[in-house]
Amino acid sequence: MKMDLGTIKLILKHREPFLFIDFIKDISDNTIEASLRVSEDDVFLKGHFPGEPVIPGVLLIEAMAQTAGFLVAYNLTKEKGEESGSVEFDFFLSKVNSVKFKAKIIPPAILRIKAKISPSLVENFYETSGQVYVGDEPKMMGNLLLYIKTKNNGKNLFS
Amino acid sequence: MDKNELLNNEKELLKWVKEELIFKRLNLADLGLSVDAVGDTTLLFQKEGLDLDSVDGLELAVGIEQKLGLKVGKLKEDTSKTKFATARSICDFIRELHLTKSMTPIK
Repeated sequence: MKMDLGTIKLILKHREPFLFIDFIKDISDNTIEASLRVSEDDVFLKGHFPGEPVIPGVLLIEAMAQTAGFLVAYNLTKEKGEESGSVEFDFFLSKVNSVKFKAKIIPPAILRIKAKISPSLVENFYETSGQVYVGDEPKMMGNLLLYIKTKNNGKNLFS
Repeated sequence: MDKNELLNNEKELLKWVKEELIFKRLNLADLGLSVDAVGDTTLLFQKEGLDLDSVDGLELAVGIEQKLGLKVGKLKEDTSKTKFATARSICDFIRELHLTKSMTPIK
């Protein structure tokens, strides 16, 4: 199933210039592929680096977190039998377990962000593994821990 | 030490929980703590103890599954507070899981 930016904004509360997915190419119960078009004019490229634009690796981590976050929140909304956008979420990146950057990405580029999620042993935590590709070339791979809960409904399990 | 030796030796299990599972796996040395900071009954998730958070709690659960091959399962609020309260209570929890696993189901 494909989804556009309008649907993404119903689920994620991130907004430009800090929204790093603009299209959903495919989504299933535990996998998702999103994409992001990065142009040479994007604001963060002005300083990274002047005259020598490279997409910052830290933004690839964020893009992967947003992609996986969309999947979790979309599924939770669906499970509740609600319409997209009617349930609000809080999103936290809790842990960056392992990330490897294989090659730099020079704009303009279309990023393909793939993520797979599995629920963890503790409620509201989700393990994410994924990759960022340009074309068929892997540029980054990583494993993140996300904490996602419906707004005002979170409990801390340990304290 | 392999998992069966650990599971059958109460003293070694407690040592493993304190030194490997809690101290090393949670990188407590990065916080400037020494391994002695983790006592048998040090409160793990309380402010007056080590003040660990729920990411640490998840890490403990995953560590138990990986090293000891026991299924911790989903942690509920009440169980996580009591079972993960101290190194000693984690040991009790591990032995309980081990016992449940080794029991033959009655048909």
